[in-house]
Amino acid sequence: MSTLTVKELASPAGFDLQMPASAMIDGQALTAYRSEWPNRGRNIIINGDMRIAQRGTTAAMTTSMTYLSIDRWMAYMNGTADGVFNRVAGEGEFQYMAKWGRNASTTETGVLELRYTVESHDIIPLAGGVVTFSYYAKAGANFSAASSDLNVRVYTGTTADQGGSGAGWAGTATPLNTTQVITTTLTRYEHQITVAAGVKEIQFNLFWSPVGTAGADDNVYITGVQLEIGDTATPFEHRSYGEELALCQRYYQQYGHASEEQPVGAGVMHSSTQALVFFPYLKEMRTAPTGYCSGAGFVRGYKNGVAGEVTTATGYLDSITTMSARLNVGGWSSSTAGGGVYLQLMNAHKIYLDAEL
Amino acid sequence: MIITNAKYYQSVDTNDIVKATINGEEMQVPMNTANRHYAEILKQVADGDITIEEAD
Repeated sequence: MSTLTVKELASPAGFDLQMPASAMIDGQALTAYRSEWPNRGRNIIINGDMRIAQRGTTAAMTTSMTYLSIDRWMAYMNGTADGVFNRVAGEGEFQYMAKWGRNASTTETGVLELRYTVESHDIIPLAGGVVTFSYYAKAGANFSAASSDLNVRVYTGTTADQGGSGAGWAGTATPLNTTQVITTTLTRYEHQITVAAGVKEIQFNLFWSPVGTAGADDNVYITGVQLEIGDTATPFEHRSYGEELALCQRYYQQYGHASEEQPVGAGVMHSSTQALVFFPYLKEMRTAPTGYCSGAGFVRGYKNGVAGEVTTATGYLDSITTMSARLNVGGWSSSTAGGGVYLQLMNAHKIYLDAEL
Repeated sequence: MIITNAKYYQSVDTNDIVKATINGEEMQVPMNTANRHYAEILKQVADGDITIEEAD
């Protein structure tokens, strides 16, 4: 075994190479380190390959810009909504793609838009430098936009995490506002963006304007979205499914199982008919989330040493923090105040937590 | 964002949420301006589009 003291390393274009000050050479080429080590943590976009869809894999477009299906991606259709935002089978190295567009035969021609907002914690390191935004996209067979144009617009702002449309942010700027001609072949496109010093937020808007009556496949397909430091798009960073899901759960979580009851918390009967239950999240969220339960009869409670009773009420969350909340459930038959209670979420019922930007 | 039926809610000892119907779903919104729903409620109140009913 030999020891090599490394004095200088040249980084491949686009790589921020972090190598040890010394490297062991024992039949292993130094380039092996290069091909593995720098490939982690480059992509600032979460769920850029559209794998995570906690809310569901299909959704009808609405006229409100909101989170419909694929995690971290908002969508809407201007005017009268008559379209979809779905996760569909991917191509090549990508298991899935997002599909957004119009329903066949509709004559609605409102703009169809996807939006992704990066949390400020992930933006500060980019300020004052050049970043590369890249994605794989293709047009459906009946893509109707004039000149097959996909619009790409990037907003930046100078106040942390304002949310909403970047057009209305304090200090709003548009460092990229361009059109990209797309074809029916899935192709990678990239754009370089200079991020001004002091920028604390960034938002990506991808949109197109349909024309005439929709054909059978008047859609855009997109996947492999990446935002990285530097002026070159490097290969898409594939994270494990578990990593990607955990990243998404900082912004959105839901509880419940389609066919099994799921333990959800334990607490105390505050009165003879009202249970207060500690409800910890899967992980800490970006901010105190909006919560909601799926409807009356959503939990079964075990209390007073008797068999489980399904509440007749709708529960709600209060004392909401980034880590946990209090689940407040009434609708029980008379119980003993001060007694313990244990709750199970009923089949196909859900508790939702939303801390998206 | 379509918001209706906004109301402060006090259950046991806290008055820290607003119940509101948002895009057709009844939600519990923490009174935290970093929460996008609460920020939008405040905006629509400021714009005169909605009011928040006092707690019972």
